[in-house]
Amino acid sequence: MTNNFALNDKISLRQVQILLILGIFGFGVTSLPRRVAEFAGQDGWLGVLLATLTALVLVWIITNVTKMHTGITFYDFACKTLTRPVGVVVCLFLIARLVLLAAFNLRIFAEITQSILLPTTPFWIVFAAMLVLAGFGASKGMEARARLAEILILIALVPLIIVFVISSRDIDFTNLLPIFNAPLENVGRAGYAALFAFNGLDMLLLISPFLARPKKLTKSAGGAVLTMGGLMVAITAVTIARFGAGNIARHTWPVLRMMDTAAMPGAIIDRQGALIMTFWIISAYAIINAALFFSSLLLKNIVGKGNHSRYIIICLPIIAIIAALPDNLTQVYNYFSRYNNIFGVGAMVILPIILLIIGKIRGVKNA
Amino acid sequence: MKISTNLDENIEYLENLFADSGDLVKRKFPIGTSRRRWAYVIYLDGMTDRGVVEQTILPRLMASSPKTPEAFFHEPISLLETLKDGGMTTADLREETDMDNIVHMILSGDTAMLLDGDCAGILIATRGWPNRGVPETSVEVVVQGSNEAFSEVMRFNTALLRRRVKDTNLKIKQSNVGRRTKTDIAVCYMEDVVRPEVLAEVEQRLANITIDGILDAGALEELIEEDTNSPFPQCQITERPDKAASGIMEGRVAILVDNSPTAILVPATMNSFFQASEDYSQGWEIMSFTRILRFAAAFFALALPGLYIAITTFHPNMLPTLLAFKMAAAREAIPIPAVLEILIMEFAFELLREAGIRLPRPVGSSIGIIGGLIVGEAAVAAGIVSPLVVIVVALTGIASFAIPNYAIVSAFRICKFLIIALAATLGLLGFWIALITILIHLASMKTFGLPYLFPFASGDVNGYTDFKDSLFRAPMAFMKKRPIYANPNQQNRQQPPNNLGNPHVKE
Amino acid sequence: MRNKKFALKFVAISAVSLALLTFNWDRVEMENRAFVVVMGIEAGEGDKTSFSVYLSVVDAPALENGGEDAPKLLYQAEGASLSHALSQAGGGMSDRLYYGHTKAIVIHKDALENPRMVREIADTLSQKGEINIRTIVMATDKPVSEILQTKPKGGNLLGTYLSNYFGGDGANVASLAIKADLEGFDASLRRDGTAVLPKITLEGGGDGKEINIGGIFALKNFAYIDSIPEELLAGQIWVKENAGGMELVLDDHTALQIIRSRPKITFAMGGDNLICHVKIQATGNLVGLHSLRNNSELNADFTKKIESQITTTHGLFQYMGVDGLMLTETLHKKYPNIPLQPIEKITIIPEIHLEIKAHGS
Repeated sequence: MTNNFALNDKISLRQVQILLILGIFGFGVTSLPRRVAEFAGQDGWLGVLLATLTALVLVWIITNVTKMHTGITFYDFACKTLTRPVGVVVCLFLIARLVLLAAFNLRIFAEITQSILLPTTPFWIVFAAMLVLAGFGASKGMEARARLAEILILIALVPLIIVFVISSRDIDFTNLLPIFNAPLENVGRAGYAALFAFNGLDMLLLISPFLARPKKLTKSAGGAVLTMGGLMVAITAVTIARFGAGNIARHTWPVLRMMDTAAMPGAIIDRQGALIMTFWIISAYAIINAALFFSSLLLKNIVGKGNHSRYIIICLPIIAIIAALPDNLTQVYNYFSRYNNIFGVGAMVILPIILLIIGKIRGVKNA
Repeated sequence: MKISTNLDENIEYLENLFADSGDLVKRKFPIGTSRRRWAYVIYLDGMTDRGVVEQTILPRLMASSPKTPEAFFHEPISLLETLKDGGMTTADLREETDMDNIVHMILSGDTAMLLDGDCAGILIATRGWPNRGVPETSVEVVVQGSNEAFSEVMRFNTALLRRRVKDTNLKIKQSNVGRRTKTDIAVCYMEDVVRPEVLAEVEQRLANITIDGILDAGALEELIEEDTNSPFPQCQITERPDKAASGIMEGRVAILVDNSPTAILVPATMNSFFQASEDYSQGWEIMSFTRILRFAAAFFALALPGLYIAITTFHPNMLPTLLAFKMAAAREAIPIPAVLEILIMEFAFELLREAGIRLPRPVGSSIGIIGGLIVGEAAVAAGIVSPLVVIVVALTGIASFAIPNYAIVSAFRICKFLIIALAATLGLLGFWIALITILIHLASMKTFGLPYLFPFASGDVNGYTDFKDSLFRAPMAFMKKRPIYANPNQQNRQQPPNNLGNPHVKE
Repeated sequence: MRNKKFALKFVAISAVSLALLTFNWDRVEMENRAFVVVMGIEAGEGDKTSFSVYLSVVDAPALENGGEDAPKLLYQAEGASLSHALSQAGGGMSDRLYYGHTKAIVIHKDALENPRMVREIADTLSQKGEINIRTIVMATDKPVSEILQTKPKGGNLLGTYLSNYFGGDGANVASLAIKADLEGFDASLRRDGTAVLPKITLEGGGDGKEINIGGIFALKNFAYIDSIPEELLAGQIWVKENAGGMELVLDDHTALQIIRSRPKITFAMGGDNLICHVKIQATGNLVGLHSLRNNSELNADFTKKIESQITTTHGLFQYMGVDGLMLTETLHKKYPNIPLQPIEKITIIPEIHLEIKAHGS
């Protein structure tokens, strides 16, 4: 049965925006202030600003590639533009990127959970709980994911923003002084580090078969990136102001630490770390769910048969094993930055540019 | 099977079918005094208004009656035509040539008359049986507004709807379901406002039912639901005609089932279960407040016990210091873990609720007093449960009563236990995992093609106008559009007076 | 077939959930937690390099019997390292020590005199996730155990009393001290090895002992160097924050209550010296008896008083070489090229604009 509003497996642009924000924002922001302050000190927020502008350009490139293949899957498009073997390789690359992204997020999520919620619960329980949840969500298909995201974003962002506002009341903003002090090169490096707060933008490449109105994709995805960028700049600035650029390195997840210890008026809740975990649980769910969904979809396209839930079940243990590999958090972040340099840049920058250029040259049009 | 021209053959057939039916009344009699033409009248006692049969139909045909028209005795005028045209003083009769239909109508309370030499019978609508009239609402009670409720007689129910919507576009399509019970059902909708695809879906699902019997609307509901494994209701059951009428006006489809004092309204989104008919008869400020209260109540009914367990046993640093100390002190003498404490109290509460329903009404309130006050007090005094748990469980129970729909509350009650189990295992992480699981389920659900969580999800489809009647109720003047149920061509609920025109013409 | 599958699913789910329900790594019932409200740290009795910790614990049985008035339990343990001492304190208990509601940490002077111990305290406690980094840190020269057992004025629970003391009404009026929390303590030690802790002492003796907060202990090079009594601390309030509520009394007993004040700090170079201009806008009311003296005279007297308070406090901090007025930090924020190091000499020039609104009754 068809409706003029809720076609099966078609989502609206608003839903695309919400999926993007929910999937990308949460995990990007946890360690962002620390990473940018490492390079640019109190001017770290400038790096985030730079990263946002870069992300906007990337979104323009990616969405233009997406618009080249409205109605057909990315796999078909890649095969058409780059010949079949190369297309398969590209898809495998993206699968690897997504699976690894999910694994990193899962591990970091488990670490955060351990430090704030459940200090002695073993990792595998958290892994299992989160993966089963994300797999269950992914098996319900794109439409359900989009609708769920609309609900979750309210649940996630409202407490986050309330606590954020409260925690920014008693902050010494002179910690941000002096402005524009960091050398341009350092701001650039901070910007590069901050770009990976937008990890996952490349999922826009895969979204085309689900779009009800693909034409305005660039504008709405850009809007979503701008919103995220604005929030990230604000949070980075406030966090740096709260701890000072020098001290921020002491906190692995400065944003969490800041919100955990904000003094709540009226003392309804003594410490809101557990409350703020709501946001991180939902964010972790969103990105792992997205990565699972798209990687299973790509796998299904490559193999060419079966239901995509079957491929989700294949991905789950792989993600869990990869997530369990690093010994400690330092190693996780080391691997993560190496991963970003290869897979992050590859999937978000190089691949879309290549596809855009070859697509334009070969004049690949909609099916 | 076609009706035979031979009256005796027909009689034999019918009497075979109705053998051993003590409530059957039948008589073969000659028409007029000439004894040349015979008729056979058959009906079920108790299902029929005997007065109509005995006093307005038979007297005109029986031999002794002087009123019998002369024409009856002259060949070759069709007796059937004559009877239809002037022989009977009732408007509601029709000709029927199929024996199965005749049998069905007899079983429904009509009177059948078969005539010698005609291959058609006459069906006279004489339905009339004992009933309790138009009852008062007992479940969906309101403070202000109509107190009429649907009754078991479908005809009354359609009348209740018709009285509220005097528009020829209100269609009441009757059919029957159940191979054996042949239960009458009526599909009621506004022809021009309903979404055609929803109507088609409803009709198709009704046609697909192959069950032998339907005895209540609830049974039918389960048969036409999309996801029968979900505890959440996907059809709205109401006993209030005004609610059904307002649903129909919004473009929804109401299904009336004979012998069932309720109507099924579809599609039913989550939001619709939080709307009560009272919401529109009082000020929007008060009712917006009430709506928010109801959603909060839903959260409490679903999540409060789980949240209590997660916070007290895993994250007491969330509590204000002095409260944490008080809670620790209250729990000191309790021998069982907090989870079990909650589960025991929840179990006791569910027991009370179930017992309260079964008991006769005058006794029902006393079980509340015994159960709630005395047992609760005693349990605390005996040191089996802590007073805070009693508060939490009682609050959960009260919250569940604040939601206007019983079916959705039952769903929350079930899901509550999932949340309790996971919260007791993984604290707040478990709490959220359980909650997100439930949300995934809800988000993947559809009710007759509409997203179940509309307008909280997919609300942008009609520009978020449905939000005006969700978490709060906007003033009537602002609610210019019909909700999502309506046909997209019929979005406007309010029109300027010069456009009104003939109300019976499609807008 | 379908039913069999369903039954299988059902059994599997129930089995998993039952198994899950028996897991309880982090589940601790409320009554099994011993809430540490105040933590006291001393140097060990015999071995001055070891730690001796005192934990003022609110335990459920105590509360059950007498509510808040119940005697608080005091646990004591010694250990070579702080974390060792802490785990010793929790040993042998049926309940789990819980630091989620720890309100204050009181450190004895002995422990503060040892740089290694100061570092260890700051490090261990600020990294212990369970403890809120906003927990108040105080210093004392009286036995910690006595302080922890003293009932504060007006309140029953020492921990909440102390944590409300600085946040609550009129904190900086009753006595003068500088608030220090775990985070600030740790951060300033890391910056330049100095720190300032408020001082908590006991007054009176026997049963009439009372908690008194006032004055500060200053730390330099990770160790205690000196303390400043509260009378000489007024200047830091003028320079660092709003002095609203403070009362100034002249020699002739004329009293002025400050309504609000606002400092503004600028720097300049005067020869070799760094000069710090502190511009303060203040308003106040005369309280008590009507003064016979005229307004401008009074104004000048009070201004002089404030100026002397500021220079006194500043002088003391300069003498000790501690950045108690946070001048170096402010300077660094304005001129980031100047490194964050204690500057030998800063001359402070107060510039007071006092406005007296009401002239007494």
